[in-house]
Amino acid sequence: MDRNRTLIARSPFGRFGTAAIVAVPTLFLGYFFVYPVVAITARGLTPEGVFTPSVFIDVVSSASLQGVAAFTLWQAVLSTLLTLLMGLPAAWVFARFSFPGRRLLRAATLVPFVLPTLVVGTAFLTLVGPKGVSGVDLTGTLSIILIAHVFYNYAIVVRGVGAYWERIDPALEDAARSLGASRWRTFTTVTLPLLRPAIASTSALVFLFSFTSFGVVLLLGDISHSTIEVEIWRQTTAYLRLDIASTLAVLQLIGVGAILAMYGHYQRRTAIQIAHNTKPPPRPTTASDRLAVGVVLSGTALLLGLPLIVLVGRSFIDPDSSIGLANYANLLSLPNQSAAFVQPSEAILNSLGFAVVATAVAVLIGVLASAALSYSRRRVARSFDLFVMLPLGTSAVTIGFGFLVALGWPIDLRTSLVLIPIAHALVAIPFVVRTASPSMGSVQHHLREAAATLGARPTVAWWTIDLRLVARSILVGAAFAFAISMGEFGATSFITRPDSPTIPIAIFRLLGRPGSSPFGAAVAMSVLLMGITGIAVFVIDSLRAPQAGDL
Amino acid sequence: MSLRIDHLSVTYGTTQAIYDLALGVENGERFAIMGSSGSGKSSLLRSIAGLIPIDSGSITIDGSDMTATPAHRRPVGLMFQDYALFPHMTVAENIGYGLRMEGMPSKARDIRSRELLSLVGLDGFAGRKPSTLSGGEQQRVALARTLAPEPSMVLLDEPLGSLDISLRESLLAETREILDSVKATSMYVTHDRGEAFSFCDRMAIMHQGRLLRVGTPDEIWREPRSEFVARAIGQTNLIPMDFISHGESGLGFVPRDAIRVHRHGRHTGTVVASRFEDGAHVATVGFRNDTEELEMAIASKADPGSQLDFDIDADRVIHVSADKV
Repeated sequence: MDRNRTLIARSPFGRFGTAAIVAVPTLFLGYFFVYPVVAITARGLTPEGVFTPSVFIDVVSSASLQGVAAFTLWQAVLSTLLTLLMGLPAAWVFARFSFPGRRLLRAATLVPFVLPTLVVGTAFLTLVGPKGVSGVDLTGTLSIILIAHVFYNYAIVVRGVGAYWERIDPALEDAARSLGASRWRTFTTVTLPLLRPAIASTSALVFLFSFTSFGVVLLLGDISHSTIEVEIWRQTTAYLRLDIASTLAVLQLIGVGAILAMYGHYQRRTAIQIAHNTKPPPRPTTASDRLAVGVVLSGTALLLGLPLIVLVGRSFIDPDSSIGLANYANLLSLPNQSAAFVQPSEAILNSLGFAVVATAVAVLIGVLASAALSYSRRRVARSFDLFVMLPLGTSAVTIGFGFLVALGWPIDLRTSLVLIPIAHALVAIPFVVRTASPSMGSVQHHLREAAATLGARPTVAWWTIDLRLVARSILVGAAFAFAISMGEFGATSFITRPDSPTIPIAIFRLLGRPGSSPFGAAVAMSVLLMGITGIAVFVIDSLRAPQAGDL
Repeated sequence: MSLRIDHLSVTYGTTQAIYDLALGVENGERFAIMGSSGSGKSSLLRSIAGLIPIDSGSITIDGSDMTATPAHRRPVGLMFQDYALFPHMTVAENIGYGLRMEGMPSKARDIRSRELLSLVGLDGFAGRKPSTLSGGEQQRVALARTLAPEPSMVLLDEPLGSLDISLRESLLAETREILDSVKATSMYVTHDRGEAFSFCDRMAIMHQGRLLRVGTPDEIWREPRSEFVARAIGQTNLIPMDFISHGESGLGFVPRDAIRVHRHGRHTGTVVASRFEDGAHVATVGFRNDTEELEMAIASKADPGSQLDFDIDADRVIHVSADKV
């Protein structure tokens, strides 16, 4: 039966209510996202008020900038391939086998994903940095950037592909086996083709995140190992070349747009439901299965655990090389070295304040946007979906830079502290939408009909049924938003004021100061930030309904 | 508590689900609508509930025109095939939902929920979540929830469709009793003729958006009026009437026990197949050069190809239709 043809399925808010629900997120994103991006683009193409291709040509023909672009692409390709190579076996193990601690480990894979870049960067510095415990300094090499990107994006592959893999009915593979296919042939002829859309969409996401990588590359790379993202920052803050930065941002936007379109294309294909499998997977029984599970799990633990364990361990090594809590004590009373210096403890309070506001804004706009997605017609919804997801693809640096370029009009917001939570909310909104809108869309149409036949007005039905059913997902989105706000670095680095740093900004400043006390304090602060995001992850995972989809 | 439908037409996109349909259901009546999937029976139910838009016609309940009334203000309760229990609410909250919409205070709602729970035989289930219930229990909660606001008209959309066959019979009888005990007027939609027969006072057979035949089960059985209706109600042993009495046209339904197999029977046929069913051997017998077939009970297993003589008790043959439809 054609479910569209009903009096109930359409928006419960009537034509004007729905228009308002579409309008609020549209205006918000229009002013705080589209307008700045357009302003950057205009500035990149017309640096002196008129179209002057010279800057554009300068940028495109500059050997060093060409190098940056080439390196950005190259490392993104390598990072994606490497992440797939490492992540797919883990996706298989998590999808196809039960083992003790499976749930916990799966939740743990989410930790790096929401871990702030500055924490990841600092963790790798404590491991393989100039003051690293391994004694090997890998900073300024391609390999450390690749490892960090794998660390970061591993969860996307494991969870994204794994969740999809789990839903593929093992009976399909059994059928292939019974028709004479070997294990490998079964994989290549049945499993892999079924997985292809999931692999493609997660690859696009990993590529995107590596392509626009900022904090990790800023901390671990150097001039010759730099992404466009870092270069935009450098051109703006170090050389004050806003024209070059704008041009770079435009080039990057074009690349991101292409990747997002690809992602969206495959994302829609994964939405096609194949055989639905809800049975829990079996324990590994054969010796080879057990070996495979063991190898994959210990590899995962090593990859994800080692940098974080070293980070935590390093935080207890005092500046005088003894073991203690001096680094944490220093957070409260670091010697004041300059007039602009702000105590780390203040940064923590700033971050918490910003995060609360950012979460509220992201949830409000995200829930409205999800409602708009669920209750508007399919074609409208599709383009609106892309629109709402754009901030996810747009680099944080572009957002921060855009605020700086554009938000002097109609009132000058550029020095206002309110920009920081708004920038954070922009980054977080896609996450809120991604967690809330599927469950809002999947509220069974019958339930709303049942409510109607029991006498509930459409708005009452929405309030008593839909909203209650998606409350968990909204909380998940809120936890994501909080974690994102606590850790956001790229956009904040443009719009922060010297006297009100956030935790990541404070870590970055500490890392830039000489001596082992600031480094120790940076490490301690990273551990704190990791703890906060760890709690957020725990909240997210315990709230997430068992069968709900992953990002 | 009566329903009157006139000239009702409903379309889904380009396909017409209901054509110019008229129907009346009287106070306290149990009415069944039987049809295969795609016959338009669910559309009919949903248009009565106000869940789908109609093209033309009118729907009148208790004398007032409901055609333009939105679903939530119609005095109609609909029980869904998948029950549509609210998963985030307890059993009592589900049952009390309609009362809450009427503005009944929560204490009174609780009392009423408990009454209904005991009516459907689920005392002590008030605090449970729907996901912890078995299919049969969910069905009963859904029924209680539908009945709670005391609707003028109870609509049941394949209410036993998602249950095991073994459960259906007892739950059907129970549903019937409960509906009678609250003196509800009800309309029951199903594809299963057994359910329709044993549920209803009157019934309709629906096909391609139209009601082919309306009447009591007994009336319809004795006078199906078309081959389609005959087959739909299980009259499958059909033969041309002129086989029984010369000169008569159309089809006749021959009940299996109106056929007697014996050596000196008037008719002769060839066994096409035989099977064991409900404690007896049943043979499919072809005659008139195998252009016609009848099923009949036989004493022991018969081999395909063997000859068989039989008599038909002409008085018990039901004249289905004037001609083959």
